[in-house]
Amino acid sequence: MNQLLDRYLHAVRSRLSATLPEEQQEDIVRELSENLAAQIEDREADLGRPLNDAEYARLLEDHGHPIAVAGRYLQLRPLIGPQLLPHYWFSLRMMICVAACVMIVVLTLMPFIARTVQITEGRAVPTFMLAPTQGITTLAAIGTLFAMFGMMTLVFIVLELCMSRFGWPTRWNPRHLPPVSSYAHVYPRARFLTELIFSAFFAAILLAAKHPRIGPWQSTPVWEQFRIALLVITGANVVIAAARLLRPHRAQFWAIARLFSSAASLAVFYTFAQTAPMLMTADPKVTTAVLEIANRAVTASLLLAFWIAILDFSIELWRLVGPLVGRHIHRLPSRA
Amino acid sequence: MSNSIETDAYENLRQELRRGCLTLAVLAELRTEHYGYALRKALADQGLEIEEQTLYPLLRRLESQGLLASQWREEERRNKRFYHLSPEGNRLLTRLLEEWSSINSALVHILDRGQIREESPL
Repeated sequence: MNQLLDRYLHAVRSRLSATLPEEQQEDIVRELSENLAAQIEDREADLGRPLNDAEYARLLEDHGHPIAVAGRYLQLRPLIGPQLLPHYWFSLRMMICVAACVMIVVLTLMPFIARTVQITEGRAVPTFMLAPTQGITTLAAIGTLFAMFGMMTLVFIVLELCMSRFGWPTRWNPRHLPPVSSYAHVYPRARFLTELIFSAFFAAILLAAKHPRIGPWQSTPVWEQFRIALLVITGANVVIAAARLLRPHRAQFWAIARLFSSAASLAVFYTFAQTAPMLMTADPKVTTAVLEIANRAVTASLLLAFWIAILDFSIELWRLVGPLVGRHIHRLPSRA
Repeated sequence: MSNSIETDAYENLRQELRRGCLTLAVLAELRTEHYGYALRKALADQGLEIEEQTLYPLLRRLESQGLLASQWREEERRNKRFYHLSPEGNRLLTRLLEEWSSINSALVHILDRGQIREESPL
């Protein structure tokens, strides 16, 4: 057997080995080998001479890449099918948002709670709880995101298996469908309206929060820079959300603008998480250690906000390029 | 519609259209016994080109569904896997050909009516 043919068949077999039993792999490769040999014999009979290496290579190239050839024999089915996929994406987004909010609250409050426990009960508290470093916060954020993603995916895989095992209900009552108003969330304008309300509300808070003073805490000049940067971005978000709501025909332009604002907020959160502290105090009862803990908690929150901004940026990017990728996928030849 | 989108749509629909037809052609051709490569050549000779990487897995799928039977046999000093239609495949082919015939005559009727309308728009 020609060496190229031998290598080709081995390559196909190695791709089959992960999913098919040994006997079936052997059978497929044997049949492929015989069919290719017959094809080669035909070609050689036409030419009146044996094929050279280049002709062998061309023939195998025409036969198809080993991955594609092996792939046609594998009866794979998606882990999450098209019926469940929209619910999966929605649940994933919701769960990650909720988990991010919970993490912000926990990581912000943790140093204060740890300090209180240390003082009131006199117990030793791990240092990372008293003053979570950037590394710990980042690690916790990544770990939580992966854990959420894994758990949610697993739940939906089990659901898909159950659905394929027991099937979707064939008898159902159209009268049990929810009223049309329940589907308002899928209408994009509702999303833009929500974004507009939230952005406007956030902008109002930022406008009011000039040199805030709460208890013994007051803001540093860094806070003022941060506030103005965030105010500019939030203002831009208000304009973009309003434009998307009222001028939906320029959808792509505003989607790109929203992507830029998302990238800007990402940069702002990251930059200010690295810069000088935002809190200071004139109260002599607040020790330097407590002030440092409070500032570290603020830094931790900014880092978490940075991760949420990354998520927001990824979602916006996917909304923009997703349809193009989808179009590319459709272009791939499907099984005949 | 841009040219590339039109080409994509055409390619997708063509593949969909071919998928069922190829299965029907393979089942019909295997009323006579063939091995993989010879079957491909026989179909090509009758104007129906089919890629190896489509045909061979299709033969296995049809066999796993019990519509084809196969056996390894030596021919011209080579061991080849010969496929032929099973009795169950034969019954199914008859039903599928009836369905094909009914779809085809309906389609011819629809296309004829369309042509008449085009020729006499008023």
